[in-house]
Amino acid sequence: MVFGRKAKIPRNKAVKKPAHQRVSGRDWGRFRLGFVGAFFCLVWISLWCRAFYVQIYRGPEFAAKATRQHLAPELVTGRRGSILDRNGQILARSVASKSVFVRPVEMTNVSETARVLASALEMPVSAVRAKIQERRRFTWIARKISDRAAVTIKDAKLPGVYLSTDYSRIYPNRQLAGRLLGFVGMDDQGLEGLELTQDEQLMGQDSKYVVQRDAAGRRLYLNGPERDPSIDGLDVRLTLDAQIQFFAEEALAEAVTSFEASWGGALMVDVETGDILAWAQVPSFNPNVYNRYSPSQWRNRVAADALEMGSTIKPFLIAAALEEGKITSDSLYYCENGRWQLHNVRIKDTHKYEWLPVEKVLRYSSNIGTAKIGLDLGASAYYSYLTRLGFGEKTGLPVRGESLGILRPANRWQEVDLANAAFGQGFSATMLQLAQAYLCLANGGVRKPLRLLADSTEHGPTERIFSEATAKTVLSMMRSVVEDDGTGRAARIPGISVGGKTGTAQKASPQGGYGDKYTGSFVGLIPAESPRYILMVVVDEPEKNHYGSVIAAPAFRQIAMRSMAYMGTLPDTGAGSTFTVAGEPELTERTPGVSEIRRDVSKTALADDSAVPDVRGRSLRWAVEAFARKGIIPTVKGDGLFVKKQSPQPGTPWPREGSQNYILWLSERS
Amino acid sequence: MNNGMSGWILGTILAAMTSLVLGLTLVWLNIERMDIAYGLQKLQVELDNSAAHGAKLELERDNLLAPYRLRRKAEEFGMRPAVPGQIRRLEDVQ
Repeated sequence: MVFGRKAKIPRNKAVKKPAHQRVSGRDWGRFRLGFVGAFFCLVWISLWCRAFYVQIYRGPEFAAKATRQHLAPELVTGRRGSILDRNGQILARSVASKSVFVRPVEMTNVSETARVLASALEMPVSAVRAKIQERRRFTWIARKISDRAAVTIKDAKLPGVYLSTDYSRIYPNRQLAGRLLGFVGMDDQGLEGLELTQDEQLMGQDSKYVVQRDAAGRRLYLNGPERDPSIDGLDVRLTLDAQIQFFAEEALAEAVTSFEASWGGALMVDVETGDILAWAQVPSFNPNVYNRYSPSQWRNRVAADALEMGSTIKPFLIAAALEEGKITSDSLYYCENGRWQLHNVRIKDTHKYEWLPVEKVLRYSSNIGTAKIGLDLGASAYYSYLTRLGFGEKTGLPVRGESLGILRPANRWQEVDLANAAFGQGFSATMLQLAQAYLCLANGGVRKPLRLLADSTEHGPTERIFSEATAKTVLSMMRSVVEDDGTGRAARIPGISVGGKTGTAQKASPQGGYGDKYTGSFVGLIPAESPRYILMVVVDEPEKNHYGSVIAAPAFRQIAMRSMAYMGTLPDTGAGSTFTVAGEPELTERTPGVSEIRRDVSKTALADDSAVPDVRGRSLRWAVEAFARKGIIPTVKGDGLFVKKQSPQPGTPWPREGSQNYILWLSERS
Repeated sequence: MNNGMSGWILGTILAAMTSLVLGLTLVWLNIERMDIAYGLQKLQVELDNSAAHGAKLELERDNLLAPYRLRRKAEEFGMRPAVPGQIRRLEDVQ
């Protein structure tokens, strides 16, 4: 056979292969087969080698690389717990919000990026540009931006601009209980108030997860839920009632503004449980914008300021003297016609009194009579009662900067100091301490702790300080302060027996001695005989008037009436007109409270007073009000809040009293 | 002997088929798993967004019902706090 040349093969003849091709030369077929086999073996071995190299030799290294690509650690921060009032109303809550940051090195068009960001964030372009040009790897542009701005930035898809999720702390009721709640910093850590003292409970925990991700970097949920709800902070429920808190703040603001005081505080306590229902301080403080206030304005004065409380201390002196058997309620004291010189100190009363029984010493708030009772009781006994009532020590409530007050040991008291302390001068106490002491008196003489956290399981000391008889006697005396001709007449509430004590304390001057600044206060007990609530109002450094009976008692009355109306316990006496006290000229100077302005419903509810109004389609409330103006309580039938049908028919003359049944049939819709 | 051989061959073929089916099932399951994972991720994002939105709405409601705001609105409508003589409770008239 000749390679490369075509053999001439005759047509129609069988082709015969040359014989020498089979027997001579090499067997190329076998060779080729062997070659291919060897090639495949080589490839196979190479593959196995490569597999060994990849899987065994460098396996761990590649596995680690793969893990780094497929799995990503993720730090998840739990949501901060909410602060709620006793009814579950939210006082503070954290909501997710976006923060925007940039990586300048990834940016393509700095000018355009700065312009878009500035427009979305309502910031000056120069400020944004300055932040971008810091040339750092990571720069915050704005934290906790609005949802609208976040959407605008996201839609702009700017290279190098990123959004991260943060939590913003919102106080939806604005200044309501602002100082008590406190506030948090940019990273959701408590900085003041309950936000700080309860930070451990409220704060969410950090948790690190390893999540799988795809080539695009998206997190995939292949191993169950990533997020563990237990890392969220716990809610804190307070004993406060948001509505009562509002009533207290509003009335207090009115008192502070009217009398141009520096500040005022109010506390309302439920005697049965010791729960603090209201904790108000004016001027107000809005924790949403805490940085607009100076640090001195963050101060929670109700707990932190120790004041000489004045005459509101007198009931404790009298209770102690009664308990020690030094006096009875009928014991007589000579009140020196309003002026008494004790050593080098002159003690004065606002009115001239001669002989007064103990009950009237308290009713008229005679300093001289009280000082003499104090001298009869003795310093060590009085001091012992004061300390057992909690003066000179913290109440233990979870508030920041609570003051101890100033109560010097009895062995350092001179006779004059004792006389002063008897009517609440010479030692100072916080409003909390005073509330706690009154809680003991109202609780039948047994001391119990105040409560601010509704879910708190801690129980403070309970100790009997006064006998039940002593407590009852003092409560009865306090009733006469308000309900008889005592100093607290402005606190009367029609239909309810109120007990209380006014206080007007001179403030110590920085130059020594006492200056011309005063603290006016009133502590009321509702009802007087078996108190359910204690309500305390303190107005500090008022300019226009300084008597507690004038500046604090009306605020007490306003808060108490509105709170009781809210709780459904205000008697419907019909005596809602402005309350005035005859023979107390200073009361005429006061500004009427908001609640004292009666709403005239006659024009709104009744177009024509001479005939039965058409109340069909009206709300039940409107209809009942319309009939109530005529002194009629209609019978209501059916369910719903709107009147479907009425009897008598509208337009018919009002039937004579008692001769007609008034029926309203209700429906769900108007 | 032939029967034994054909048994082995049959067994091998069956094992190969089973392996193939199991392998394909595994591939299918993994695809489904990834698919579900994407779905879960989407749902989780939706859930988070809805929860965040719900929280904001609740907050807005609380903001709208805040006593100070209600007080302002009440004043706008000429309303005042009720005093004794002006209060009727629904339970009293039912």
